[in-house]
Order: sequence, then structure tokens, then C-alpha cells
Amino acid sequence: MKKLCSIILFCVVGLSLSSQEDIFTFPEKSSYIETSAGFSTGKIHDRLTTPLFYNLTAARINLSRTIQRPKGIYNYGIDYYGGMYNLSTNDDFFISSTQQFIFNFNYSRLLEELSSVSYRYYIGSSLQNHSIIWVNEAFGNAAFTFSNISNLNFDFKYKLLFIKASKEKKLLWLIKYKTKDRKYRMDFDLSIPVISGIYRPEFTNPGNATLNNSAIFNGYKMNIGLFTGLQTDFSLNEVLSNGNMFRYGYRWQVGVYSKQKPSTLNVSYHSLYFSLIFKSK
Amino acid sequence: MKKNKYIIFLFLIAFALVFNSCEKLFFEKEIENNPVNNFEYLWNEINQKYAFLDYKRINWDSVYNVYRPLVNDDISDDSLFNVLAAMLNELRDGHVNLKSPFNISRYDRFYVGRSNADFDVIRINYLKDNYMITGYFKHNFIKDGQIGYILYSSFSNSLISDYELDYLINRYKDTKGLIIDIRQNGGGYVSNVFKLLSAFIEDNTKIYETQIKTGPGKDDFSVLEEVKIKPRNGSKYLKKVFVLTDRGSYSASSFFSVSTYATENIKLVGDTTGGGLGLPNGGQLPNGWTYRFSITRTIAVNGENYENGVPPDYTVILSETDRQNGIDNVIEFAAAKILE
Repeated sequence: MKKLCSIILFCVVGLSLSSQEDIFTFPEKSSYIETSAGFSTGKIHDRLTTPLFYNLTAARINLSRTIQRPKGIYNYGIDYYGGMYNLSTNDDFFISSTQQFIFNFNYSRLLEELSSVSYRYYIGSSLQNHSIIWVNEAFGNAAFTFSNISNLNFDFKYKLLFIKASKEKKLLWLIKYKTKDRKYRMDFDLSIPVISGIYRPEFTNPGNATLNNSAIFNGYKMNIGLFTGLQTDFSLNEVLSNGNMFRYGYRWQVGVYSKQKPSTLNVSYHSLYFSLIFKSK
Repeated sequence: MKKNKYIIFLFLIAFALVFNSCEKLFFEKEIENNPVNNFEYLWNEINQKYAFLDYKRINWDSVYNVYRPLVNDDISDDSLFNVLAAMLNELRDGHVNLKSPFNISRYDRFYVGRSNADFDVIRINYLKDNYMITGYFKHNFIKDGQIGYILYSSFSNSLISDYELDYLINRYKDTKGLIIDIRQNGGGYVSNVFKLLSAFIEDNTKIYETQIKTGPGKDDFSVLEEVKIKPRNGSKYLKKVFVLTDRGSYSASSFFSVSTYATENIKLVGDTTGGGLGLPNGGQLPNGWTYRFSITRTIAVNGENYENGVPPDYTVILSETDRQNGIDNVIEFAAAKILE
């Protein structure tokens, strides 16, 4: 953990010091719509049904809206992961499907004292709801598992503006041309789930084959967890002349729910994504 | 500016590497896959989650003492499978299986008791050549058209449709009674139980109560939840219905049978069912083999737990002499009761 903190601090402070301060500034009031698509890998370990870790391969799509105001940022959106969890053992191979939805609402306030024209710090909180549907036919009646995790997160954001200056280049060592100034914004988001409500089967998983035609979630229970994981997002945004942006990002998320209990659920995601960000105001 | 570019690059790489390795710090360690751990894992799962250790008076610690010495880290997969399968069969439960790529363990129906039906006799002398097949129901009139005989061999083929039920009820609406034969019906979808029963009731009916294992203690079950069914909207048959059962009537067939205790017009005839009133829950061992065992229990409307079999209202065992003469005395008994 020390190693991780030192690297984050080094990078954040280092980048702040070496950034350029020129005419490229944060807009005071603006609004963006973001659509993104990406590829995710990860793991799941659902102790209710298996001691083994299944590997995730999924597509990730996201739709969100960000509203920037002089004092802070609002962001809300939905993430969807669709794909499969698979497991290879010595003599067998298991493939199962998963659908996941994450709803997110965040407000972060600008830390004016610490920020400058070219970089900004924000802290805030977010409400997040993560629904995981996992269908593994190998588990028979317990094939279907639904887990719903609601988090109240502490959020930290760091945004840095910089310009890649124009430069003279040669095409095929012959034709001279000059590149334009390119504007970039680097974003770093950290989110720590402070308190989580975890709704999932408690001790056994009766699944969808029910003996009770009126009960939908037999054997489910809500548990409360504290500091259940970590989420980070690092992205590089290329800002176009009209204010729209291209974003290239990496997102990492880990969650450990109901630790040390028979219903322990461990999940992790690594996502590489590309976004189109449209400035709407 | 160049300096910036490289720092971002370094940052991306460091970030990815650090966090990729970091998640291992958050997760529990995976259980090592070796024969002893696989044995211990399965034994513990049953010990904590199986719903009927107490009901069946199984001393699971004694079972451990018998089978644990047979497992060591040098044992072959075949031998390990055989030991685990034998241990699971101590539960005497058709809902318990262990599945590996080379074998599936099971507690077969023939362990429970003999068949109380001869399907050749039924086809030749009761269904006859002109019997009809509607969905998965084989049926015909018997006793000069006074009774409808319906053979339902499995609850697992597909979900019963409204069309099928309407057809059956309309065809036999003028009979004096129906015989539904679920002997040797090994079960299937419980939803078919609700569907079929809904054709024979007039009002909302509580058919049984159910509860789920919620903790490692013997009595750690959820509160009993009432299970009710509604009469279907379409045609209904409210005259006498006799359901024929035997030891091969398992799982969903036992659910159907135990539910008839809640009705006035449906009676059971034949032998005690095979039981199987617990819902099997699936899971996986550290070596990837999968298993299932019962994690719920069902309580009949009379307060009894019939996991080992639902007794009939009228016990009638197939007579060997009658069978050789082409007579099914279980059907004959039910028919006589209808015509009384």
C-alpha cells in the first residue's frame, strides 16, 4: 500500500510541477456527454458456490453526463459490462455468462486553495449501484446469482491541462510540415467505497429453481460493509478546438464484499476504453 | 513538454502494474487443489449446508472418520471420486450428485424401492392403441368412458401449457373422475407442479411451507414461508382425482403428492413416493468438480416433513398375479374408488 501511495503522490506532484501554465484553461461552466466502449478483464470469486476464481472477458460500454460549474463537478452515468466468466481446470473448462450494470452519481467540489490555472483538485462523494448477474449452468439450481451492491464513496479527482507544442516534422524525410498545438487534459479519479449495502444470497444459493412460487429472491439478505474496495480511473483527453474530446483511459476496480463470510464475493475489473466526449454547453 | 509526455507514459505503466498486482492483496487466497483439501471442502459444505443431517439421523462426524483416512495427497482422481461419491451416498438422497469429467455419482431410484407399475400392462390394457399424446401427457378413457386416465412420466420435459390443460380438461369433463399416474416419474420443474395443481382447485390454496438453510447450525433455517397456488383462469376439473405414486415418484412428483394433502378432491394411491423434497443447491470443489445437495426443506400442511417419501392415502402394491394377467390393481383400485 505504501508503494502504491508513493507512486500516486510522485506522479501527481511531479506532473503538477512540470505542467505548462499558458492560455489553455478549464472552462468555468460547461457540460459534456460521454459515450465510451472498451474491453475488460477481471476476476470473480463467489464463495457461495465455488472456491475458485473465474476470469472475466467482457465488453464495457458507458454513457454519462458531466456538468462543470465554477465550484465543482456533477457527473452521472451508467456502465454496462456484458461478457463471460470462464475457468480452466486440469481436466475441464467452464464458461458462464455475466451482465452487469453500474449506476453512478457523483458530486465533487473544487479545492481552490490547492488548484491553479492548469491543474485542479476535487474531493467529493458518489452514490453507486452495482448489479451483477452471473449465470453458471455448471452449478445446476444455483446457476443464477444476482448480487446488488450500493456504495457511498469518497472521491478524489485530479485534472491537469497541458499543451503539446507545434513542431516541425518531415514526411518520409522529404516533405516538411508543421504540427498544430495539441491540447490535452489528464484525469485521475480515485473512489473509495466507505459504506456498502450488499444484497445477495446469505448462506446458500437456492437460485432460480424455486419451491416458492411467490418468492423472487429466496435466501437473500442485506449486509453492510465498510471500505469494501477501491476504484480508479486514469485517462488522457485530447481536447479539440470545438471543446469536444477524445478520451483514452484505463479503469481499475476491486471489491471485496462480506469478507470472511460464506457469502464472500470478490470482484475485480481492468478496463481499457475509448470515449467520445461531446461538449453540449 | 517532452518531460511531461514521458511522465504520463511512466505513470500509465506504473499505474497498471501496481494495481494489477494489488488486487491479490484484497482477495482471499485460493484453496490449494489437492485431494485432502477437496475432501475437506466437500465434507464441510455438507456439514454446514445440507438440510437433512438431523432429520435423517446421519452422524456426519462418523462419516468423516470412515472416509477421511482413505484420502491422501497421492490418491488418483478415480479413487478420490469413488471415495467422495461413497461419502455422498451416505446421505441417501437422489438430489445429491458429484460430477467430474469422467463420471457422475448418484443415489439411484432403485436404492429406494421397487417399481409399483408395469408400463407394458398400462399401454396394452389401459392406454390401448388409440391413446393420445398431448404435450407430455399420454391419456385415454378407461372403464367405458367413465374415467380419464393420464400418464405423466416426467415433470422435466417442458413447461405445461394452458392449451394442454384446457384440452385435457375439456376432453374428460364428462367423466366421473380422473386418474393421474406419476409412478416412476423422477421429477423436474416445480413450476409444472403449480401449473398442474391449479387445474384441480377452486380457491387459493396453501400447499406446503418451505425454508432454506441459513447458517451452519443444525437448526439454522429461515422462517417457514407459506407456498400458495391460485386456481387457473381456464377450465378446471373439480371432480374426484386419484394420483398414483410409487417409490420412483421423486422430487417434483413428491412435491405434487405432498401438495395434494391440501386438497379435498385429490387422493394418493399406491406406494410411498421416493421423497426428495429438498431443493438441490450446486457448487464446485477446488479441483473444479461440481456437486449438488439439498439446502431447503418442505413441511406439509399437516406439519410433517416427508423428505424420505410422501405416504399415499391408500396403500396399494402392484399384485404380481394381477400383473401377469394384464391387470394393474393400483389403477383398478383408484377406478373403483371413483365409481363408488
